Amino acid sequence: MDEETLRVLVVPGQSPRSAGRLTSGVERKRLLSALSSAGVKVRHDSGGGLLVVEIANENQESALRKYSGLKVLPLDENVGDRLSEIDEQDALFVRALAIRANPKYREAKRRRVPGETPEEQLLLSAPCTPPED
Amino acid sequence: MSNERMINRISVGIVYVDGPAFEINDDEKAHILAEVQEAITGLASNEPRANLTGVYSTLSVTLPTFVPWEGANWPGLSEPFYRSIDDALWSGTTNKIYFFRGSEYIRVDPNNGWQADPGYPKPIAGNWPGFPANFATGINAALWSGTTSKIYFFKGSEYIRVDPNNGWNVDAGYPKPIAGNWPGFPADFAAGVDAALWSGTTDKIYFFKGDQYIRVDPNNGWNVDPDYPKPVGLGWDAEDKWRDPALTALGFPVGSAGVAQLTDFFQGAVAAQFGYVAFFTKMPTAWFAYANSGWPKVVMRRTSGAFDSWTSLDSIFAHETGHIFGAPDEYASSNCVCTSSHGRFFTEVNGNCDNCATTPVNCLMKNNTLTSLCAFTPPHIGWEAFLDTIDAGVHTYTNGKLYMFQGAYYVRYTGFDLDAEYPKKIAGNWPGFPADFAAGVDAAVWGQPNSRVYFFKGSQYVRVDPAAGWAVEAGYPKAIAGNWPGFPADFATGVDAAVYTPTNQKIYFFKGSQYIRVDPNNGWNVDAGYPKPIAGNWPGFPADFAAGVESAAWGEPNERVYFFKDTRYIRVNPAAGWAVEAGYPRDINVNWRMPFPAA
Repeated sequence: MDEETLRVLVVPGQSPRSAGRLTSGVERKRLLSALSSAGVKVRHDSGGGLLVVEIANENQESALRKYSGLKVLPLDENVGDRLSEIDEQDALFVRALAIRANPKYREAKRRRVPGETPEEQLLLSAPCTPPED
Repeated sequence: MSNERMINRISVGIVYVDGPAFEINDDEKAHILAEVQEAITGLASNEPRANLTGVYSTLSVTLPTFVPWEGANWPGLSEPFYRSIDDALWSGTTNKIYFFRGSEYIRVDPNNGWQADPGYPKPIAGNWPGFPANFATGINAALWSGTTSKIYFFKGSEYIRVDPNNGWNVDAGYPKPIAGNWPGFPADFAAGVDAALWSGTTDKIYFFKGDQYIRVDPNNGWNVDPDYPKPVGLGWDAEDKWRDPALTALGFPVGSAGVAQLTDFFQGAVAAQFGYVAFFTKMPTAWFAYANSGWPKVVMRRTSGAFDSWTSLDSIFAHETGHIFGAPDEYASSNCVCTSSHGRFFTEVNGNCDNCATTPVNCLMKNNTLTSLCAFTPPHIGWEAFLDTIDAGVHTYTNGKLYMFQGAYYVRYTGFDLDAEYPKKIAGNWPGFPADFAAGVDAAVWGQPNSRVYFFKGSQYVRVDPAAGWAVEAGYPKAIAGNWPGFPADFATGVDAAVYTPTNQKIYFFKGSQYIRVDPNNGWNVDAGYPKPIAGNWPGFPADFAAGVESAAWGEPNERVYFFKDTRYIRVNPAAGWAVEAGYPRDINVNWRMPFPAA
């Protein structure tokens, strides 16, 4: 995860999800279209009020900050501390981002050797698609 | 579209299914989601042009009354015994059944609902004396036969017979091969069994092998009964026991219909183009990680310990996601073969299969290397071509079809509908194409006066005669320079796009920000006054299109000219001042009846 270019966008009115359901696809399409027009690449999406986006330059970040109500936060292991009033799903999304931003986690990912874990070795011992599929 | 290409926004709908004794805590849930994000990030890094974005929705379901292995054919065993049993024995003395696995055994009471007795498993050591030396190191199976009142021990493809009424000695003439002495045995059972028993209740013999068993009738010539083998436990149905209640709890139908609806629910809510459901649970499953691409779902189970100690969850999840988008297993034990075809958008053989590839490479589908794909996986998951541009397009009046080319592949349209079984490789489908042209072309154009198709690559071109098997004509390729009169020098070194417009019966060639016009009815000469800049001469061209286009094509059904740049296109109406129509540029994705990475 390249923290230098990634930001967390907090989208107004998207979290908490109404009545525990996800926001409508139509609203989401409008938002994504606006981001696309600004040249912003979305890397991860909580499905609610949080997006992880790739910022290509300072101008793009400035443009984002002009969107009404849109918050732009740095992505690090403390990102959760800067957020309030988010629903359960977004809270889980933020915890996952914080785990991934943790230097120890990143170092472990960097050092790993493919095929080394018992689970990977087990996976290669038998087909992993049911026969009827 | 059903996960044809691993591109754009994909919905990963995560469902945590837990219950008493199967709890998944919040730390584990966060770890799972982090690993799933790592998986998608890793996959995306393999092909940035795929514009892959993960959209994560999470739901939690708790099943408070779930009973593991309820409905199993042999109730009350512990889970390792459902995975495999080494051997089993019925004792006429105790009227009990003994299941053996490793150094332990479980006693089952046929007169108490075939339930396992309390206090088991127990160690074997010290309780079963008198075995022959070569079998004493370990046996695969044993049974006491009420028919013969003898005990049979099985090891590998052989067995011995012991007579308890003759000092527990092995009968003369043993060991013997199973094959030929036990009629109707499936070949894999004849090669060796894991367990066997005779039941006085049914007067039948049961043999176990892996997660299967067969039943033998000593009163019917010792033949195997019909409809066997069967699963010992629930087989792949183990998933149904918690998945369907979870789907019901979430308000969806059971089975594949419910998974399909849940996928649509997740996908529709987050405006994703593709999607699948990923179940994470500690409840019983047939295997700890697997994918059903047709449902579409991934199932991942932690059999012991916490999810947050599973550090390779990301790479295994990425591997299973590969299945969702059409990639096959490539490791040897998957029984893969190199000749099988796979993929939804492109079709390619499983050429990196470890069982047959000459030099198989380690990669995602062979050994879970998250950021390494073998050469065959990109076509399997839709990444081989048509990712960030269209190289060339041409409408041919011979058959009224429109062809679009990108890289080594092309698609064909009837009207504006993408024909079935496309994309196809250029190589092998366009006879006589030189190798460098088959690897990709720069431009293609219809020549109306001679009914030929011209393909350009670098400073050369070939001419195809549709009336002669669509073959490249003799004498080609030829240099553009000297054969296309009046071409400016920079156009003769190569062109970006070309299009024939029947409106004025002219051919337009584009190179960078300039274009020229050729009159095929005037000796194929470049018209006077060319080259000209695109900007100012093609009304309404967006700045990036005016700086250069990558391909152009004539749309015969609506008599428009289409220009392509990166992942978008514009439409020009020659009958309305050759202006770009309102509402353009648009994404190629979906509008050209194929999934295509969007900006």
